[in-house]
Amino acid sequence: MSLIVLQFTGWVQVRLATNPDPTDEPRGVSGYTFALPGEPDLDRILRTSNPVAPRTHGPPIGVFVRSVSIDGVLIINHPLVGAQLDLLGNPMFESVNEVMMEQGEEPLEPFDVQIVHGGFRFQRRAFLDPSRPDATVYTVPRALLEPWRAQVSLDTTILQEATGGSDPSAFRRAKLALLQADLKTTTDPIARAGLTRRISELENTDPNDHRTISMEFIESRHYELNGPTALVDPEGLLANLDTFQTFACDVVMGAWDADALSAYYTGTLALPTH
Amino acid sequence: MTATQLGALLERPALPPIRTREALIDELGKAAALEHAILCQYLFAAFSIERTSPALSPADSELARTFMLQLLSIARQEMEHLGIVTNLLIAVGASPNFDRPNLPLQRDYFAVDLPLALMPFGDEFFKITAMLEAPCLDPAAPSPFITSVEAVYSRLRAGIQFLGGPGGPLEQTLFLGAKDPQVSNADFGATPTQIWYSLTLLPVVDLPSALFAIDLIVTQGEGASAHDPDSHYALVRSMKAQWDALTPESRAAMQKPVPHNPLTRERGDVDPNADCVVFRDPRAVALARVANRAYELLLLLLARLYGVNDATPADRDMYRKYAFFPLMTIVVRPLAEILTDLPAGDGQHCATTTFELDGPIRTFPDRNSFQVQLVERLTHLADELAAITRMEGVSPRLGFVAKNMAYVRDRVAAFGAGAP
Repeated sequence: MSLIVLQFTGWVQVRLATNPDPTDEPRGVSGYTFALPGEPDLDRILRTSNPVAPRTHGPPIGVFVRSVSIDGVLIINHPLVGAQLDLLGNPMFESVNEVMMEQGEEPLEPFDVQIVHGGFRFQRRAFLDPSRPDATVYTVPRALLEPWRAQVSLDTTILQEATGGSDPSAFRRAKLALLQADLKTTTDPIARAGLTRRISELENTDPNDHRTISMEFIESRHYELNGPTALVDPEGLLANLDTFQTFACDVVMGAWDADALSAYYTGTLALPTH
Repeated sequence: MTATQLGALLERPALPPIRTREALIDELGKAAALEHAILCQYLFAAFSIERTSPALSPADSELARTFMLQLLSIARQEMEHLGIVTNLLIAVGASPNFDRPNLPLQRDYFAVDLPLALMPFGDEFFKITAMLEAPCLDPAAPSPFITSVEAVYSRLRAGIQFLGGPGGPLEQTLFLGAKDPQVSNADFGATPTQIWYSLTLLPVVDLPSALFAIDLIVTQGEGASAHDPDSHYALVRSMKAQWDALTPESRAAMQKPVPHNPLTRERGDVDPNADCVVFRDPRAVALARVANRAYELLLLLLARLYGVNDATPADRDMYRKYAFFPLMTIVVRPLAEILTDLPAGDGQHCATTTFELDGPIRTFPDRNSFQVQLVERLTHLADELAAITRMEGVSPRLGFVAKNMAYVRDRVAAFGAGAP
């Protein structure tokens, strides 16, 4: 029996309204996130690829396998390095203005992992209640929901890893300068209205404001992938995968860029084999 | 003293200064009711703004959003003022006051000559807020009526200083309730002076903290000086200037057809001389009444949060958790927004939230009794919202509110049963 661990990193897009706006607020008013003129409504979906209306000077959206180890030994040039990881089913953060859990700690549901690389495809979902696959955050017993609660901490390690810097205010100042320069050369009224909004938000320099401090938030979530496994593996990269076991997936999200509605996403997926 | 003030004095005697604890408690209770009414005015105006109409240019759409954001921010600071006044009430040994008369307010109700009415965003709204927030030339001048918010706090400040200051009759005993439960920044994990969601909730424990709290309210409202850009007065003036610069078409596109002073039924306690619109559409009436019940429940939770009662620390955490989030965010505001999608039934206007209270906000003394009634009320709200969701022409968004209300009911019931 061996344990194959895929380590992945990348950026995700999350276009969600933030407190105290209602969760289903479509454009953003009193929170610190907004849909800009010309952009579709906010939808709360965490996107690992194919971002909707990505903003200028934001990070490239996409999550990829960066390394593979087997029983703790790093496998150089493993064929799955570079594979794309996606979360299927339009996962959403389900705080619901703290009806469910505090913002930042709330479950992300569904959690359905897909990894694709050439002809290779792996997919498995973590169900809240594997005995009731249709259970949602609203219908599952709290005892089964609590393990989906994120552990939240506050420091700059993820920000440093994601951006190469550890000063959220400096990050925002640099972005502000870029957008101010863009505004000088932008004539389209829709683009100008959007840039003006982004600039006014970035001009908030309060280090304790959510716009800035949330760049240091680190949300850690643990999932047990417990649904049926789908595997297309013509080269036997995951030969002898033990699908009778659950697969542990640990994910860390941080470096939340409220201007770009993007966050750094990193984690591991542990795959036991016979 | 202005000629108007002098003329008024000839008709009626001036309001007496605050010289006893009971007079102070009465005036603090009045201040709480006024702040409460004013925050409703700002919320009402914010919910009347149309910000997604295709008739709005991108720039105007952003301006409409900014207007709404600024109104909601001011409303939150008025909530802060209500919270601080409540802390003052607790500190001097009284119970909280979340009661208030319905709007539009009659002038003689509180001896208040202020325009307290529900006006949609626009010219009339700017007219009344300019009067409300304007700095008072001489807030301490004798008058038979309160003619500015600043005058309310000027009277309170003088009364507190007289009673609790050096040599005052209650110098040693004014702050009888200083150790009783208040709500402050600490309850939300914020530092004492931190501003969170536009709020800074100051505890009141002695004379300096009481005076500081009053000064903060005045500064946020009228400004530390005539040129303070962050005061409500300056913000409203700035909004007014932006509003005046818009074309008539843009202004019209930013306004939902919300009526002045909407009501779900005729009421004897509102100003009989004011224009009011009584809803006739049954869906609007039903939903506005549920919205008012949800708002009332929020107030009942707040009333249990302050002062001495038999609530345990866990109870207080629960009251706070559900009052601030989610009742304010996922119930009161969405219901107000959903209401504007319905007709008022008068052939001219859309419906909106009415912020009516059907009776006094009672303080429940027994935690077990309150827990039972809390679940009952949440059940009624959830059931009634679910029923209205099934009515024809009601926004499907209401289903989301109903679902969350039912979930909150279940969570509160589980809390009562001792479940985590």
